[in-house]
Amino acid sequence: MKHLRTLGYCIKQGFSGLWKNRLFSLASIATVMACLTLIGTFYFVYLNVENALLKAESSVGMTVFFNEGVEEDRIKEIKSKLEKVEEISEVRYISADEAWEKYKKENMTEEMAASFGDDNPLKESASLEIHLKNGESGKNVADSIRDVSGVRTVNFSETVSERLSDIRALIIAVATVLIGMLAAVSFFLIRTTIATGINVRKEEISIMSIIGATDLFMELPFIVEGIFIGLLGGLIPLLILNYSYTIVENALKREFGNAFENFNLLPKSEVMGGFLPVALLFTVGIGFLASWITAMGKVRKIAVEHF
Amino acid sequence: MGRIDINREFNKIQTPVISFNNVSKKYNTGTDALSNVSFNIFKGEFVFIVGDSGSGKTTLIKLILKETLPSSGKVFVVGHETKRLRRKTVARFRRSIGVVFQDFRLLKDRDVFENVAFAQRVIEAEPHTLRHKVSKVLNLVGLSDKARALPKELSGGQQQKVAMARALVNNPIIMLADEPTGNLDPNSSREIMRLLDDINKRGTTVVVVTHNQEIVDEMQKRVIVLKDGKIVRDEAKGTYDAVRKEAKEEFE
Ligand SMILES: Nc1ncnc2c1ncn2[C@@H]1O[C@H](COP(=O)(O)OP(=O)(O)OP(=O)(O)O)[C@@H](O)[C@H]1O
Ligand SMILES: [Mg+2]
Repeated sequence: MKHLRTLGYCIKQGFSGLWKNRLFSLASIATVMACLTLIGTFYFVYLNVENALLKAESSVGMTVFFNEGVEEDRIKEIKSKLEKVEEISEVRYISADEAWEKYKKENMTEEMAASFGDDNPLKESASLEIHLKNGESGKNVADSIRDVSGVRTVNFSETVSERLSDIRALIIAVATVLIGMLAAVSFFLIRTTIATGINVRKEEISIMSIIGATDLFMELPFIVEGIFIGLLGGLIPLLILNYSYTIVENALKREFGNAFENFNLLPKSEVMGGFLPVALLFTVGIGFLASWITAMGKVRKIAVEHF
Repeated sequence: MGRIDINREFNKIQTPVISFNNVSKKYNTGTDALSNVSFNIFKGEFVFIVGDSGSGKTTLIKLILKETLPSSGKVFVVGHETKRLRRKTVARFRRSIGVVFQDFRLLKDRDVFENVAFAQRVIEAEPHTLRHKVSKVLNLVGLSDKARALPKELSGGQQQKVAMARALVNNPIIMLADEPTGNLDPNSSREIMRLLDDINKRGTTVVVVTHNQEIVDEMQKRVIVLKDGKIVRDEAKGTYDAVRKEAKEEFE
């Protein structure tokens, strides 16, 4: 009860400090906001781009062609072996006839196709179409299939999965530097804000300490101030991001309808649910740390200079 | 008179509330502010500390408050050796000491009541105890009718009374005053000193640093005289300077 009342008093003092020092407080909140908005936008775009790329990729897969004279039985044997490989989700046998039909359909007019009659120029072109569970393993899988006897070639577009892991590393590096810089800027601005607040209340702190206030009692109002800066700086951009996500989601739906599934964003709850707690912990953490460190140093200095 | 002397004798068997044992203080600038100072102050005493500017009076007060530590020797206050008080216990320790400054040090944006109540908030007092105690001390210093006034609406003497009420509201064992009348006219100064005397009569040990000769000579209290960081005189019913005392004795 006693401590609850004191906490109440300190919170009140914290808010009054925030208000008295509102120019700096506002600047700090704005910086934290900018920081989180940037991080959030970056993160959401990244998640969705990655998701779209992965979706696109899983439909690409790879195709295995065989040497001339390899029997259908041998191909089927290879197929059943491949089906047991962990990285592979599906293997489909494409017979020479199927391949020819497909080729005709995609590349020839009916007249042209008819001129071939019953001849199948691709009669040696039975193949296996492989779908992977995850794009990253593609290169390794393709390499090991190339070593299987009877295999002529493996058509595998390395672009998506290869590039994706390169891009991911790059994005993580850029994001880390960016987040680090923004966090540092926020941290120092909050420190400045709190330091200014402490200077304004120097006399009060000096009196408190001579009366016998504990360190915590003197520091708490400033820590409350810092936490609140972090909280507001975090909550406002989260609301903005939440709202903008819906807007972008709806706009994409309107533009592309359901024609291309790839243009649909990840569900908001999934994206937000993961981001919100981490983001708040991040901003409140910065506010807390910056104000705590500042208050501890400055308040204690004032508390020993009364004469 | 006799009764007071008996009290003094009795006090001497008790442990002192303030005790300096061969205390020296050298600031890191090299100044020797105090050298080999020893004295005891017992519960219920009223002591003036006098001396020229720079003689070490404020340093002595700072040592009592553990605002600075002795370079050598020991300072005991209300049973604690200040050097051995841990940081965490200093706050609690300071609650047993009320301090008054020359420049009042009130919070300009808060009224008289809040300035005094502030000291109670710091020690996490119950709201009703707080109200009760604040009105009690305001009554004691004679400012009950000024509870809602801001410091700037008060005279210097009244402001110092508010500061005294603030120092007093947590029932300190010791009251320290560093030149409490330095900024006041003679009448207000007398009032402040009379109030300190009142507080002392209610049981609080009072230590006053002052340059106010007349009042010191009038009040017939214990006087400790510092000169260049050393105690040159410590007398029961002392006077501000030795010459005056001789003149006075001759006259009597
Ligand atoms: N923080 C400090 N650092 C270095 N020297 C100091 C410090 N405080 C006081 N001194 C020096 O110590 C000596 C005693 O100072 P102190 O303030 O105790 O004197 P005082 O008797 O209170 O003087 P006054 O009557 O002018 O207030 C002086 O020479 C002063 O310059
Ligand atoms: Mg002084």
